[in-house]
Amino acid sequence: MSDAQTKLKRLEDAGILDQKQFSEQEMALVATITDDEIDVLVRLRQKLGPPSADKNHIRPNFIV
Amino acid sequence: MIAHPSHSWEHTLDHLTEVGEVIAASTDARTGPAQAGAALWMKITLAQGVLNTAAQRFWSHPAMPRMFPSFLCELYSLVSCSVPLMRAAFERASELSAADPLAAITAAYLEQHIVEESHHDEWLLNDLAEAGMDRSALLHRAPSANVARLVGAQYCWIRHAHPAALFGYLAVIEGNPPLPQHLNEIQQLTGFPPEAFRCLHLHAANDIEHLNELRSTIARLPLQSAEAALICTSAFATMQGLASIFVELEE
Repeated sequence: MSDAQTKLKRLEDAGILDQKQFSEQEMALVATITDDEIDVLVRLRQKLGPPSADKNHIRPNFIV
Repeated sequence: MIAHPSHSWEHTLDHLTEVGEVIAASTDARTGPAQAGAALWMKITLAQGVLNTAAQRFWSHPAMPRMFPSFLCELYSLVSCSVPLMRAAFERASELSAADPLAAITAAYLEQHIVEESHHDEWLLNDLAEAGMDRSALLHRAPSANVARLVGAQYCWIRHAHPAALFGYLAVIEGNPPLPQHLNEIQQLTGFPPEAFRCLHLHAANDIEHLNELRSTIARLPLQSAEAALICTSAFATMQGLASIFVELEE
């Protein structure tokens, strides 16, 4: 598994991204994220708890 | 009854600052200026989970219908601050633009976006008045400390750092526009009339286009590390500020 694939898998396993919802170009950008950044994003997700699939349509509803 | 995570939200929001610092510190480290904006947008998007989780807690709270008018007050405060804030950034960016390509792009984007967002505070005020809220009280209510912190931070960065900082604020607020399905659910749960949601529905329809414009603008920003870090810091402060509004409304 490449370095980029390892990063994507870590983010996906943590519930931070769904690879199916990202284009190849976006995936290439995700692969530029540093290991430190992935570490803090994963820790943040862990503190938030698992994402709720049935609440994905809920938005903050703040507007400019 | 909605089961909420037992962890401390205050602690989680503090942790968001750490996340922002790490990402701001390493922004542009691998991508270089050409891709820095696009990479920055991606990182902000991935971190939006904290705001979405705060939003999910609030909108799923059993007492949400009772708290909804307070949310609308906060929303009106924020919206009424938006165009003056963008105008301040536009004016500062215009002053710098002759010798600063980033400021020139910032000014060009804001000049157009101010037009797009003008009068939305009046539309929202009309919606809320038609829904039975007190127009005069909304007009004369001073912004809360949370809104002042959120907007005030942007004025500070516009004046004392770079007006492009506002892209972080806009990326968070416009990067996650309302969805009609969710607005309809809120209407049913609160019993508020459809008129209360007209401005929000308008944003649900138009903000996808605004989002694409913003995303493409940020992707082509000529960012050096310090400027990318500033926009990142602004975005994370905005996420934290908006999440704090939800947390305080629940208290």
